[in-house]
Amino acid sequence: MTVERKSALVEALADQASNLALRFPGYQEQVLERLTRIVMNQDSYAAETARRKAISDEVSALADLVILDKGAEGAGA
Amino acid sequence: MKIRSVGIQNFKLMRDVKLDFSLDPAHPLTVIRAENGNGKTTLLHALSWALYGDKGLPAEARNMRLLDSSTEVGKPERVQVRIDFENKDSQGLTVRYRLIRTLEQTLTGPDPQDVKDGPGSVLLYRITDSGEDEVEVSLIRKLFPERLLRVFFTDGDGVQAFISGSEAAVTRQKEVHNAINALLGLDELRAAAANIKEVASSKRRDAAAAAGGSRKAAEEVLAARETEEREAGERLAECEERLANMTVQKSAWNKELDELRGKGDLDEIQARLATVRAELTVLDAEQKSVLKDIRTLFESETFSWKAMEPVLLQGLTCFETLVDQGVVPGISIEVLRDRVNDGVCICGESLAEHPAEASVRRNHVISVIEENLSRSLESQALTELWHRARTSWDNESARRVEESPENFDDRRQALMDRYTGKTDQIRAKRAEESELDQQRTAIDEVRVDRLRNQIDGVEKKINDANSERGGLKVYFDAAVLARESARAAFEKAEKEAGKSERAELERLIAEDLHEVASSALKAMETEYVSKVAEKTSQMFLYIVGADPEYEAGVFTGVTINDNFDIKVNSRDASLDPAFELNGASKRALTLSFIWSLMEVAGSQEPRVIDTPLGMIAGGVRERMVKAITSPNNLDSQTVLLLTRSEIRDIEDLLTERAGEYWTLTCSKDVKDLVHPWGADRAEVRVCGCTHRQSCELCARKYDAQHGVMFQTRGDI
Repeated sequence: MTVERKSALVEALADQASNLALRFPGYQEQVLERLTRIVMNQDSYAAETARRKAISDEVSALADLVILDKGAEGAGA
Repeated sequence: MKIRSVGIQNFKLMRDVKLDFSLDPAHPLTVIRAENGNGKTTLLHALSWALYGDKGLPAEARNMRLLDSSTEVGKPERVQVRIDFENKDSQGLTVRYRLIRTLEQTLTGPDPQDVKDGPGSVLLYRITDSGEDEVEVSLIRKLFPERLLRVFFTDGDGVQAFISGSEAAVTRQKEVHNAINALLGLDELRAAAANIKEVASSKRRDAAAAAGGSRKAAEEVLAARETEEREAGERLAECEERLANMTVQKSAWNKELDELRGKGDLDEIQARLATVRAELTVLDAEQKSVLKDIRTLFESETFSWKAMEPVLLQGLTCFETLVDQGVVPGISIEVLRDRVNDGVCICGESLAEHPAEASVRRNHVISVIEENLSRSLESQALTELWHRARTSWDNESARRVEESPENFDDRRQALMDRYTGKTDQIRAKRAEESELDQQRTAIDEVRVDRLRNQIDGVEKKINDANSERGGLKVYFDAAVLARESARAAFEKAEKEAGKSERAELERLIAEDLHEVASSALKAMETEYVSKVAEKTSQMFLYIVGADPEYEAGVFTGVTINDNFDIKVNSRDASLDPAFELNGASKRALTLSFIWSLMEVAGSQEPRVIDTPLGMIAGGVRERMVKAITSPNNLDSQTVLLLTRSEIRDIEDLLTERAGEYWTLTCSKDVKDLVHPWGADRAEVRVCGCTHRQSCELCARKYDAQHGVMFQTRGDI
């Protein structure tokens, strides 16, 4: 994928991430970063299962962040 | 991306051809001049075969020989195409590659499919200052996506697959959709969205399993419905794909059949041949009948009289002489003897022995008797013959007076005229029969029959597939409704059930990611299609010389609708390009679409087009070449394969835009070449002549009318 096409894709993802009502609006940046990585890595894995495992890992990592933040909020409170 | 050079060995008539391509951003065009049948299409196929393998070749040419037909049967030969190209990496640095595709083939007979493939290989190297490093061949698929074969390498007719041709509308839409997705990099996003959706489903199942109870049951129902929907969708997609492939195949077969029919309609020729042969049978019979009449005439008494008349007349004349001489009629010896015995002559005078006067008469009669005795047999026969001849001639003369005034000569002449007439008619019919036979021989009857059977077969399959598609669509729609219903039930159960926090959290995050990805995909498709349509419109109007503001004009713009149908707008209506544009406008539209798509996508891939300017002349030709060869910020490369006729009137423009020129020449054109060059077998060779030059290799007898100047090799 060329640099121009990548930036157009990231721009479109960013637009949608900011326009849509996400369940966890505080993680827009993280969502965008990981989503971009997911898209860019689609052809890095030969097998479908490997692609889904990578996506699942990204989702788990985001969940960890949310839980961590909630824990921090709880501790702060 | 740019092609730097290509080397071709034993691909069809190209035994050893090497070409360099222009890398100059200010002169992005490479002009390859060749007359029809001189290697343009072979070069195009060699490039696409090297990059895409058998899939790069037209459907009808796959699994057939790549070697020239004159290659020795049974002797293995190596076909090889090498492409050196360069590409910019993600840091904008130029990386050079070398692709080498090789295949060993052995011809096993005279037909194109009589070939046995031996070992083959595809190797890709990254070229560095220190040498060549082998890299994964799969990189080729990323750099030259298979779906874009028709964009990168095409010809004047093939390029129209996006808008017209015999292909079904669904196939054309798919071509446009594929081209947009592949060039704009949407395939990765589409795949990512699909995979995220699967992960979201998986997370949902995990969450349901953790929550248990009715929610779990609802989730299982939902999962089952989703599976049914996906499977129904896959079956429907598979059916549509099959339908589209069959339609493409049918189109290819129809095209081939049309080409074969271009040599004459086989049915019509067969029918004419049958008629001519029936007419010949009748003529033969009539000629035999005339011949029989002639034989009868010559066997008749009339002919005998005619043939013998001079001889008979001569005979009768002779008889008259004999009559005059008294030879005929002959005298009866018995009568004379009786007279001598009686002693009285027929005249009454005495034939007695006495007196002396009577004795003299008696001795004379006796001498006549003796004389006649010596010749009596001949005389009698002559007398009989004389009588018969005279009687027959009298009868024949009487018959001639009584019979028809048409004499033998008239009858003979009439019969001979009829015979000659029939002979001429038969000769003319035989010539017609021979000509028709030659026409029929020119048509490959076996191939035509096979194509007809194949087309009939595929038509039946297309009908079956259409019926199947209808059923599958109904089933798929029902599956969508069932899934939506299950989803509603699940969401209801979800609210009622307690939540498993971690699993639920992951599910929600996955669904968020899916929503963003799928929305971005939709937005990009809409936005990019809109951009492509806008640029296509501008370029098309420029090429065809249309002014949308001009009230009496025909074209006002181009749009691409939600179904990926390309439409040309007129004053108060939209025009279907497949049926309502002329050949030049069709080419202008499709090239505008390809160029706009690549520009919007920022694509730098080379575009190689064979004979793009056929059917295009005047201002449209000049503006088209200007539009597709203009240097741009994408630094893209254009290769045009042109005939001398296509080059005419745009020589200056080509000089301005081109950085490399080559001329391909095939030795088979001995009648057109000024200096026919010897080769054991037909062969395509290359020289560095520009579109204004010719040399000993490429000079043609009609070069002067194209403004081409001869120069010896040393001058070039």
